[in-house]
Amino acid sequence: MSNNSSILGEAGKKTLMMGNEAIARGAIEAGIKVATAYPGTPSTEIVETLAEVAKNLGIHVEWAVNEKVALEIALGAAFSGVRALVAMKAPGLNVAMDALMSATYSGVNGGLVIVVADDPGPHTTQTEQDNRFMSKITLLPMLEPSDPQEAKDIVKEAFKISEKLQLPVIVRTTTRVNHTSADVILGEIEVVKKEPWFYKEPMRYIRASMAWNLTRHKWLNQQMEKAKEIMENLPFNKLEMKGDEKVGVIVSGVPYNYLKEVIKKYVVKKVAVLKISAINPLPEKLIKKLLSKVDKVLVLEELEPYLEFHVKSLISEIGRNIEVLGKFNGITPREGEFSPEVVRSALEKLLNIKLGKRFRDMREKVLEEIKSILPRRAPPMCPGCPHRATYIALKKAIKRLGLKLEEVSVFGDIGCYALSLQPPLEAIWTEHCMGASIGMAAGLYFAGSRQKAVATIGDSTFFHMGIQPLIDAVQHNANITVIVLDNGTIAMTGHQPHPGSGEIATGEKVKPILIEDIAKAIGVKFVKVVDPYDLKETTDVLVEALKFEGVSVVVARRLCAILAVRRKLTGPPCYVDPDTCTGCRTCILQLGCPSLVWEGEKTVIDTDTCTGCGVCIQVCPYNAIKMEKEE
Amino acid sequence: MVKEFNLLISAVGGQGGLTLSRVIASAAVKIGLKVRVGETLGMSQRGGAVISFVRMGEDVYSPLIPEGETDVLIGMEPIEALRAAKYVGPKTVAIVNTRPIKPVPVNLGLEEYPPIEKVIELLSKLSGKVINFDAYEIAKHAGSTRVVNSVMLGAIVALKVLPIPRETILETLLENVPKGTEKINEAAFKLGEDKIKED
Ligand SMILES: Cc1ncc(C[n+]2csc(CCOP(=O)(O)OP(=O)(O)O)c2C)c(N)n1
Ligand code: SF4
Ligand code: SF4
Repeated sequence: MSNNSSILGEAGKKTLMMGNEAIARGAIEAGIKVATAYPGTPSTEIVETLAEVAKNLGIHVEWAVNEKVALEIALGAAFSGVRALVAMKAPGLNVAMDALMSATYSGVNGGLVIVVADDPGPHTTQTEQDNRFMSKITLLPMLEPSDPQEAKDIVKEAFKISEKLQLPVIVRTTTRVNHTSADVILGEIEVVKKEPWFYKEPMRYIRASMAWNLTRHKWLNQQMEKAKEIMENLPFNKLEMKGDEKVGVIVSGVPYNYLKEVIKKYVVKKVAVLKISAINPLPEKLIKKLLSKVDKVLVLEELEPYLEFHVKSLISEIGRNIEVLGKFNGITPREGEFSPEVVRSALEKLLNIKLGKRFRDMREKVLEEIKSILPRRAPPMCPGCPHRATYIALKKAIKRLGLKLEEVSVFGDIGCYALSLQPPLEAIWTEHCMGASIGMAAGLYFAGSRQKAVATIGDSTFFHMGIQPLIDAVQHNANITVIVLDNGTIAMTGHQPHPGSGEIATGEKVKPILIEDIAKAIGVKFVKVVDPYDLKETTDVLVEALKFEGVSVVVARRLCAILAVRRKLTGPPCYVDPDTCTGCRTCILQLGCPSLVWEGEKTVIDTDTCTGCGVCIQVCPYNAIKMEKEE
Repeated sequence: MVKEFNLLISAVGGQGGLTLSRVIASAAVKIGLKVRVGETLGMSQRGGAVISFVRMGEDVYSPLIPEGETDVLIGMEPIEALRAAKYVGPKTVAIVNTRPIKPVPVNLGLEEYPPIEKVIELLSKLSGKVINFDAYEIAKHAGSTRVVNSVMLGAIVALKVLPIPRETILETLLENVPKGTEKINEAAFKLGEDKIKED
């Protein structure tokens, strides 16, 4: 939400910032030298914000090819003594995990902060993975903010902790921190003057000696002993307790905001509250302080009962009989995100009273009726999206080969093209994890199925994790067709550049790496590039590719329509000649382009949104759709 | 001192709902209000449903508006206004643009778009007050169908329900629209104001 000047604003200034911008500012205040990420909602704006000011600050900011590479680059920088930040969405940590595990034994010299953005809801993520448990697997320190101000301050603090302990520190956020905007007070920007230098220390950086690994494992555990002290005194943990309360709440992350608001609004008294930002190691003394006073405790945390597990074990340690309200007795849900309502009703159960009025029946009835008549509005592919045309051509090719749609398995992947799951396309059969389509298609072939196997994968997804499975498929001579939907950008996450875009995060132009060159270098015998807007050519080539024995690769290349509009590369909109349109609705039923509007008897094109891609012209059986002449 | 003021913007991605929330939130920060804006980004440019919660005041912590507690609802599209129904209540002033944007399943004949009268009727059952007009037509008069959001903003300001002065809002609007579109946006804002004043 901010522009350059506000992200670099003076200390003490109050600025409206999105959580991700606040995180970026925290990293700037900590004097980072390197920031990397692979985009993923809700983490993307962190590196996006840093990229905008990278030149001013003289730091390296980049979109890496995937999360593992992003982490490795940040690690290399942190080995040399400078501070580095890496950001990713929740499943990104799975991709980076291998690199991270070894980093726990080597440790770092300059501070290394890993921001992982979980997504209770989920709003835009394949699973509701709760990455707090990753701190137990990696044994690394983990912190969690509850709002944008804390996000900034905690990131800054995390760099100090990282250097004190010589360990990477994970800052775990959730969507409602990353994407919430709030007034944030800026802090001082530290000027870090450090000559980066990597000192050779084999025992730290080489994992080939088992004796060294054992030594480093012990070292890691020692460091985490020291971490306990730091976490116990972390200023972001807050215990609000007078000492005479009989009930208490232990809370972390976003629900703390709901709790504070409910307490204030309903003037709730005599409840001790412990807000925890130290996720690993937990501040056990602080928790015990609360547990030593109360008889009943509510644990408020989204997703899994991470805190609740620990609270229960601490209760058995101190040997008091305390009732715990949380996930195990169904007081709060394990799935989805919390809301003020969830927190209010949990608090009511803790206190055994009603807080505020409840809605009347009439209201519930109206809401039911609304629900029953409200059409859904899932995000469609944009007007003029090239992916739509590619899937139409694929369907036509399948039909031309005399096959039924059920006889060709279309493996999907992650990106805008996965929106093809919706009617009328209903094209993809799977959407699993980055790059999975190619391996799965090969797997179906190796299983001996008579079905044809097609993998459809986006350009960035191909660079992220699609090249290795393609190598595998070629090596084992799988009979599959791989369609790479090359729209020149990472569209789904907001149009970041990738290695094929000819551009990097900071805007400089570089030589694009072409997907067809990679395919040929791997040894694919059938490699063709098509323009999906040309339905006939694309269909012809796909027919050939499907007939080809072995791995065939078709690159469907056409710029993302949003970028084409932004760069003013689109032509005038198309229009339907009402005298020729018979009202057969073929255009809408085949394409489902949002600009094709059904007006009861005929189709009308919404000229505000139509990009003039001309694909509907090619499917209209009566030539009723025309392209406006450019003046 | 404002204790709690809840504004909800419900729109179709691409209509400029996010610009509106940024303008109002930035204006609130300018006059020293505590602000929380809750929204889920990521699909915002792609014609999906987008809801923004803009909250201001001393007692505000949560980025989400508690159910039924909205003070002002800006419904940029009829069924999107209705989608926000659970946040609407007796104290809500709702202002709705009556120009529909049909979702793809409706064009496909898989789902039905409810009549606008029905939308307004249902919303009126929950909301203290509902004002509706075709903001799209007004935007056209201002010179571009892309400034529906500024029309809506002008209308809200004319209702005198926001805890922020008109001048601060208008100034912040003009800071946040693309360069070169300031005039059209200002015209749209003023036509939105006129629409309320004449009724
Ligand atoms: C491990 C992982 N990292 C990041 C993401 C977020 N993500 C979802 S789709 C996508 C973009 C894919 O880009 P591309 O393949 O080029 O397809 P496009 O959206 O451009 O059509 C990304 C980065 C994810 N889902 N999983
Ligand atoms: S953003 Fe680009 S790739 Fe994504 S749906 Fe829209 S046009 Fe297609
Ligand atoms: S030309 Fe046809 S398919 Fe392309 S954007 Fe316009 S209406 Fe949609």
